[in-house]
Amino acid sequence: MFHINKVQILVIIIFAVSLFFILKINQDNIEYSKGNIDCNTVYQGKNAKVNVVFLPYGYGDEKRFYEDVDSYVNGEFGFKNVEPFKSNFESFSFYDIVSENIKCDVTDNTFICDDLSAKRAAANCPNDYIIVLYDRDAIRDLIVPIRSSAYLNLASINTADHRLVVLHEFAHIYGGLADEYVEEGIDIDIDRFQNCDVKTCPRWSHFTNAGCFEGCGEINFYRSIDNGIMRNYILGREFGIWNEYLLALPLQS
Amino acid sequence: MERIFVGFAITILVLSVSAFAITKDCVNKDYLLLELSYESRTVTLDGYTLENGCPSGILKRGDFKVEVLQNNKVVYTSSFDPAIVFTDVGGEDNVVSGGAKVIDKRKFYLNVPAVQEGQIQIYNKGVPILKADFDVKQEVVRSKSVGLLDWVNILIEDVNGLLGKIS
Repeated sequence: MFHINKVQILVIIIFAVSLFFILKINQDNIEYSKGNIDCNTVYQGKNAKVNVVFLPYGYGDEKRFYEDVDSYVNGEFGFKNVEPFKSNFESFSFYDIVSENIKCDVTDNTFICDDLSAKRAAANCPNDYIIVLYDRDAIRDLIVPIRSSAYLNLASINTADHRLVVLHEFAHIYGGLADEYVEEGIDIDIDRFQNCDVKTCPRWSHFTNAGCFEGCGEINFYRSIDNGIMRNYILGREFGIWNEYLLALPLQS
Repeated sequence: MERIFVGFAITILVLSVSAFAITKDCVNKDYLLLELSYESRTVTLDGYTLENGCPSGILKRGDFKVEVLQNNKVVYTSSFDPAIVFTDVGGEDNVVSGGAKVIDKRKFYLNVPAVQEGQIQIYNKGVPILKADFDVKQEVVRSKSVGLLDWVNILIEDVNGLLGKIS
């Protein structure tokens, strides 16, 4: 009935081999020499310059972890929908890894993860920044609120807090931005935090839509937006034009 | 017509293999895990191990800078700051609090690209504070006439063996 020649067989074989590799990619599994840790690609930017890896802590359910990662990447308050990450989304790649080897601790009501275990796990994916998500019960957190933290290139996140806490912490480790709320007893080095300035705000005075509001880490310093994500991620929905510029700057070079 | 089909099929094959190779990248890479201590604005190297996986990319924020040198040429540079930890929490009254805490003393880790017989230099605000030599004997065989899965298994065994020798 069917007459198949050699060329057709060759084409079928090539397609079959291609299919094998495509299916392998879809599995997104990277075998790790110290165990079976898989690197899953959440989103691969077309011009990716920055690789972000999500790791779980305290999750009883892998599905819930994947949902949280999706929310922090693609959700209303995720990278995909908040400037300047929205406009530069193709410059980022996001990965997640389900590992039970992440060690974290709560000290002085602050959630902070051990950077050794996080770095070892994250090395299974291209990694520039690591975000550990702590699946914390919202009611429990209402009684005893736990702080998220950022240290070196590692953000340790309490998922019971507002979704924008991830972008706030990421702005610390990736953009080098300071907190814009005023905290007593905190001294900040104005030279290293470009989002704070002295009175009259000469750093961003040439930005027409940027303001100059009292209080940026310390009461004596000034910020460019009244209620931005770096001051209050519960009420603020944007970083503000100056902070967006600072966050987009590393992507330009 | 057949030539078009063959050409199309080969293109699909090349693209899928390339994408596969990119996705699998970290399996075939090694990095140096640097064990460091920060105290009083200076950093000391406590040790290092060769590990399998991707090194961290080039980071641009922080007063401190790490350089990896091979044959006196800088092959990697990245910034960091082990002295500050940021903490934040959203409260019931819709106020965020926490702030940056300055650290006096802390052990921390950096993962940098692995090179054989190199040097690590660390600077604080441009001032050199640490210079250390390291010698990593890599014996990982990366090319053998075997199937893909065998090749991956051999690589994993070699890396495991190498890690055993180093530690």
